[in-house]
Amino acid sequence: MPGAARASAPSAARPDPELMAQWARDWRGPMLRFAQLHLQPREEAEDAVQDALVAALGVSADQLQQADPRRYLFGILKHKITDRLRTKYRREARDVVCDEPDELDALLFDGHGHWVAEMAPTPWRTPEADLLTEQFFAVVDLCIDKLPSKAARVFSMKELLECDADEVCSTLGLSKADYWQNMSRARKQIQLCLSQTWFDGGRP
Amino acid sequence: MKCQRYVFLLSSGQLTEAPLASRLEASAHRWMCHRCRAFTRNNDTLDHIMAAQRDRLMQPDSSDPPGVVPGEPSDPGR
Repeated sequence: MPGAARASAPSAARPDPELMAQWARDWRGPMLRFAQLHLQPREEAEDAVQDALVAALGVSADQLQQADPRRYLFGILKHKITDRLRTKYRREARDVVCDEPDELDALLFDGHGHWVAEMAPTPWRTPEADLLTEQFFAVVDLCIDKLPSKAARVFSMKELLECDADEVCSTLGLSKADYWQNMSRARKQIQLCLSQTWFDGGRP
Repeated sequence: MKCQRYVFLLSSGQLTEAPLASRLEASAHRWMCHRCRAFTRNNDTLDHIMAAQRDRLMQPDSSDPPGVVPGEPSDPGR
């Protein structure tokens, strides 16, 4: 997380209201879209964005002038999202002790732990520039959407919120073993999904 | 080491912090198994894809009218 993510105590030199208004206009939309990837319903995502913008008001004008708005605002937002997830899932984690077995492994590997030939991966060979298209990212989103809910939460916190493993575990109330299981599940399934829907001829 | 174990260690993120002996065992498996090499390479590409996805999600709105989020009423009232 960016170091400037936590808003410091209010200073005598308040941020320029015009600058803050401009930031809110430019960044509210992307922040809301980002928050909605992690928080539902939409109102909760909006609250997190609002909290982040309010927190941004708490720093001095000097700090704000020097800050990179993207790094700064998303840094605060990530903390606001994590706080809300922590509150939501800590209670839930106490009620859900066991997880479903990784049925994906039964599809990918035989009884001896070797790849099932038809499911084995082949190298993705598309040039990297071809991947950075809206169409490709729509497929990525689709593959993430197909993940089981817990694996999706773990993966999103790690890869989009850039939380480390310990923070993901404490926020979602998971053991390290549970974290590894879910992260592995997410990465295997996304790789399989991208292979099938994009790289291995499924590309639209 | 079997493919299933190797893939789990890699995709869970444990491999980077595993003891040296486990990392050597994993390397040896990767040298022997072209399928796990493919999985590893794709897994690395997935890291690049997600970094690009993060970057894409954090772009400012340039085409939207000020203060308007696509798909919502013009005055959010919040």
